[in-house]
Amino acid sequence: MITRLELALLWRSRRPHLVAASLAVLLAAMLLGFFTGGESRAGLGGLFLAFASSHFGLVLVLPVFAAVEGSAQIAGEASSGTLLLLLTRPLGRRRLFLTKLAVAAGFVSLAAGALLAAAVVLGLALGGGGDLDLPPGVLAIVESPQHLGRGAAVARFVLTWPATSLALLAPLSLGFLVAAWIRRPLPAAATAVAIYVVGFALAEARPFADLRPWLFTSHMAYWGALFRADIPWRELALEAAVLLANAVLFAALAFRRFRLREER
Amino acid sequence: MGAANTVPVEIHGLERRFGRRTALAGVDLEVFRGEIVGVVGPNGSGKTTLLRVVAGLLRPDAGEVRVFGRAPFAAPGSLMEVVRFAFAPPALYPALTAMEHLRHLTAIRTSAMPRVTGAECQRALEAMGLADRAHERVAAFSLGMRQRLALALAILPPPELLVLDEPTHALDPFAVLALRDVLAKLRADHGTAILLSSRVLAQVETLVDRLLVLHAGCRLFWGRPGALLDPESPRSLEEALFDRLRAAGAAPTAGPDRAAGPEGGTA
Repeated sequence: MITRLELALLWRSRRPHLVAASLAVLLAAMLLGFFTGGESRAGLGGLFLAFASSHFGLVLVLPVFAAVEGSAQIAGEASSGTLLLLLTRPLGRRRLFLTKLAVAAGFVSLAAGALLAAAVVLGLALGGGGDLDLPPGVLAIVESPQHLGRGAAVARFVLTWPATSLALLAPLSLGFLVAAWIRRPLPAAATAVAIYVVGFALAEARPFADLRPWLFTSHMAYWGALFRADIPWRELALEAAVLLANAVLFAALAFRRFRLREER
Repeated sequence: MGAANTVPVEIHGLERRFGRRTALAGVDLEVFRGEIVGVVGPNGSGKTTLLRVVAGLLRPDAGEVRVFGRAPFAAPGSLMEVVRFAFAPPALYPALTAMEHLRHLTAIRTSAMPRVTGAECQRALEAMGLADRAHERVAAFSLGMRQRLALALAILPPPELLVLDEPTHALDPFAVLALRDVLAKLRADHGTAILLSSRVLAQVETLVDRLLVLHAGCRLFWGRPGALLDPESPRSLEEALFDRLRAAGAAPTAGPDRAAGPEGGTA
């Protein structure tokens, strides 16, 4: 099965270790900042530390990682020549493409889950237990003070995992799309990241306000709504739909290009 | 797939260009069941392009290419049930062992294909002289060992058509002999049609039934290797081929009409 081969290759590669190491460094730096910064927020409790420290990883680091991972999947195999090994097996390009997309999505999702779990465990261990209080304005997540009991807050962290996994599908598919055109992994990864950053900037820029609702980069932090006392499910579902639509569009365009392209 | 009444490879008037450069110009070729056909020519003559078109990795610009009666670019996935390829240089996964390559890649199959057992993987490695390195990672392999592994991969499960790009490249003389035995056994046991390319005629002249000589994308010779020889001039096959290539080089604009002759014919 192609899935077993893909998992074996992923397991033997350095990518899981690099991701784990970079996320660990990010968490350590964030927590260190909370405890040693001039305006320490350590007093807000362990769950607040968990929320704030995972926020940057989920909104800034993991989307970039997802774009890189997506572009490395096909471009890496094309560059090393091993794509021919797979294309000359009774597999079909559709199955090959979908398997690579599914394995990469699973990997990115696991990374997001690991980051959330590590943030909660470290936050509770270093910042103590207690409820989650989110003051307004913090990380632009809530407009009025929010209070969640400890159990409810942990449940929201659990819900955040599938929500962020869905959000990360968009930059991942973008990576696949770029790699369907650019055959070398480093230029493909750099291009995918550059497009993501530009999309992020467009989502923030005032002149492009009309474009904002349709850009996936506008919704990468949509899961923050899960930490409101009353979850706005309809709003959340709409944002998830925009993200999913972007991911499906990128993946469909990537597959069309991959299916028709020649391998020289 | 691979029905008994279909010819493994049929190519008529194949043309392929890369930008302004013509890689193949009006090439005709047929490979029948149980036949070994060699494609010989200098660097850049179009050998690899021809094999990649057969593999469905490249589209022909003009002409017709049929592999078991089907256009390979349109349906390469299903064709691969009965066709195996090994391209040069061999591309493998450095992090996997030789045995893992065989186990994982032969597990990619359809329900119509036979399951490849561990014992068969072991035998394929033995046949290519890699049995004692089966559990070493490919990252530590020399180019010759990688080539052997690529060939072991290409014969599992035994295909109806085997396409090998420069199969003797980087192989030592012992491995070349082992390869010849493997190909002869495939042909005898399974009626496998084999299409292979080489830059060096001496490495394939005793192996092939028919020979296609390419020069600058044109068919310079097509027929039994012995037909290359001039009966009035007692020269070796290699020398006879060199004469033809030199003559073609002296007239580099020779097109397919001038270059291609009938079976066993000359330019």
